Amino acid sequence: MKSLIAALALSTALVAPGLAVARPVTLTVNMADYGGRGAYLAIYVTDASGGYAGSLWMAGGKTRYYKHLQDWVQLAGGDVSQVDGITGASVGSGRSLDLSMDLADALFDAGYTLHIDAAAEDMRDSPNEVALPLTAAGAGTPVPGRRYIADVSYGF
Amino acid sequence: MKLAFALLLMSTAFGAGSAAFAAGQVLSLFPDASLVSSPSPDAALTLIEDDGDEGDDDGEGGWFWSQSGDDDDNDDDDCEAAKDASCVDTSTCNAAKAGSVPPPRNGLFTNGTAPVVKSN
Repeated sequence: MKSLIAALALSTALVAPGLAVARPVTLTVNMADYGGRGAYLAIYVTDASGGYAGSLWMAGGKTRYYKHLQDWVQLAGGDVSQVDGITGASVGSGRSLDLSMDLADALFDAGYTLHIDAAAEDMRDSPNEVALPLTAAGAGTPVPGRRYIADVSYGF
Repeated sequence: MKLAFALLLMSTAFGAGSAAFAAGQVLSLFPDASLVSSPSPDAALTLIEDDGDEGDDDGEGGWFWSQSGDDDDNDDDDCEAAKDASCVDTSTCNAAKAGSVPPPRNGLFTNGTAPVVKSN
């Protein structure tokens, strides 16, 4: 019996930290009816000092058009490896994008901000289309975009 | 009289021809018979670069490649790192699509789990 309790305590101790640092997050991006072709979106995070922390998603597969995602290019240095494995199709006018991911719990309430740069063919570039502070209190609150994105929200 | 007039005419013709030759002028029966025209030494040369990128719009802040007929679903003209081993210049290679390689270890994703995307 004692060994069973010890094993249970040990497994709990091993699993609990993992649960504590991981937070399942769903990010929903609703595109506006801007009337153009599929938009490229760079979704990335900056830290409390405004420095680049990393990328979460790249909507749009052709590297040669990434230059239109101006802030992302400036912060990430246009490094394509930053979005290897997290790249998908561009998002059409009036459509929505749902991203489900396990994010580090340390990103919330610590000054981190989620940014989205957007651009579409034959239309103006929109760097920092959305800037969304990552806070627990901000979950579920839609934040409007400037040109291509109707609103963005995240939930746990 | 006729002889004097003929001599005067002939001397005028010779004089005009020699004066032109002395001035370095070459008279030609054809308007421009030369095949090669060389620029003057101080002529400015302009190098025009074509990088093959349709609708390059650096500094314009917009997309100007509608004439290319390009479609996002057609990646035939680009090399892809995940598929093409000959793609050695990573700056021109497309990013690996989600699911083909693990997500970057940037500390944002716990346990290296890739995002699951749903678009509608």
